[in-house]
Amino acid sequence: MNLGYYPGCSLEGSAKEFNQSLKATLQALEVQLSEIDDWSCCGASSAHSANHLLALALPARNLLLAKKQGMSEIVAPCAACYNRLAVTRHELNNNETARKGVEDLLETPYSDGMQILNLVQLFHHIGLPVIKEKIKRQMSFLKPACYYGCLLVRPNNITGFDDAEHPTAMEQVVEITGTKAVDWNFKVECCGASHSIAHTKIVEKLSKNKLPPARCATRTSICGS
Amino acid sequence: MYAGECYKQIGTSGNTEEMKMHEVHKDPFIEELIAITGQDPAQCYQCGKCSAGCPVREFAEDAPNRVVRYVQLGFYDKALQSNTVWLCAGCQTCSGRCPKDFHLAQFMDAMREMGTKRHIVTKEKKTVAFHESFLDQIKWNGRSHEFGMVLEYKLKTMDLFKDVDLVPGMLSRGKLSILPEKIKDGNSVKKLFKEKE
Repeated sequence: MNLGYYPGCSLEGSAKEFNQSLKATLQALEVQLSEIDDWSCCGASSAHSANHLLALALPARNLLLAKKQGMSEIVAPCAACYNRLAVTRHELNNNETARKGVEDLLETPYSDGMQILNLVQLFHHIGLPVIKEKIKRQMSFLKPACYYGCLLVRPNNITGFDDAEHPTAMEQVVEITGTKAVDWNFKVECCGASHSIAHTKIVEKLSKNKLPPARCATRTSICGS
Repeated sequence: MYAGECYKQIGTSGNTEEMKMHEVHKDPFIEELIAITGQDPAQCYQCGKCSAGCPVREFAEDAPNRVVRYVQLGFYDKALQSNTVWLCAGCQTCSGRCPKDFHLAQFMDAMREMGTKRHIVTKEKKTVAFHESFLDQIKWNGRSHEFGMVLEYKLKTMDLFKDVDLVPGMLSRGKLSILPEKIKDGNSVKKLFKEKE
């Protein structure tokens, strides 16, 4: 399997280990990734706070590059990048005014034909039975609590990914390693990430809220995407 | 006529004669808001479900549905000045749960965009400085550069010593690079910013 790859800025910097472990995992699963040549930032939460067209044009530039480089499916492991790419694709396909504005900015006509996958979708796309065959060590000693956060599941009519309030796709993935994912209430609660720099106290409070319920049933790890 | 415009007439004058006015000019603020978001704020019927699930409600001045109410009543400056607009984390819990399918997170985005355009002074200067620093990195390098972004943010807010203890560890683990990684076709990204300026 050969897929387009949009790592996003964080995976090249502070989330470097996420990039490394993803590449190692996909290598073991014999999935080849071709990075989009000369990709640029998706604008994350700052672009859509500043200008609605800029917020669409930044991801659209990458969608067009991927298309030009012959890709039809791209993997965006970062939840914010995945969300911005998916929202942009949806807007460009359904909102003519927005598409016109973005085409004027990019000076290129837009054409669709790109599937955008987050990491959980990618594992389902590869096929859970295929992955199960390649697992070398059972992880039954772990009791993971799966954390989806906001941007994989919302807005649900656009991402179309699982249930917005009670998703289970990630649990299905971790459970093929022989572990049992625990049920908890904070799967899709916001961690406040966009305020990490300016309002660290808010982020601390929102993230700490999630730890006691996860710990109280000897839940040992939280996995996210 | 938009319902928001009708409320404005009632809210500001209370004059029944004016309420009966048939010729109401379209409000430019509401027009602009609809052009950005594609939705009329009058759609919201103030049930408050958004505020009940909002993760930043406890830190903000106004409940999110109150900001919509300000706009419905024509108190635009009050809406734009509310720190709720900038404290919205963009989690979209509100949008997902709204019984009227009003995309409140998108409304908040438009409030930030329109407030900036109108040079509204907000108390949330740090949040604004963060977004500006983040976007500057994209404009200059094509990609976000965490070191440059934090440096610019610190100079803007003069909050110089916060989190500096994290730097040595991040540098040694290769998670922070001093110099930015520029993309090849930087101009193609730079020109996208002309809409914002």
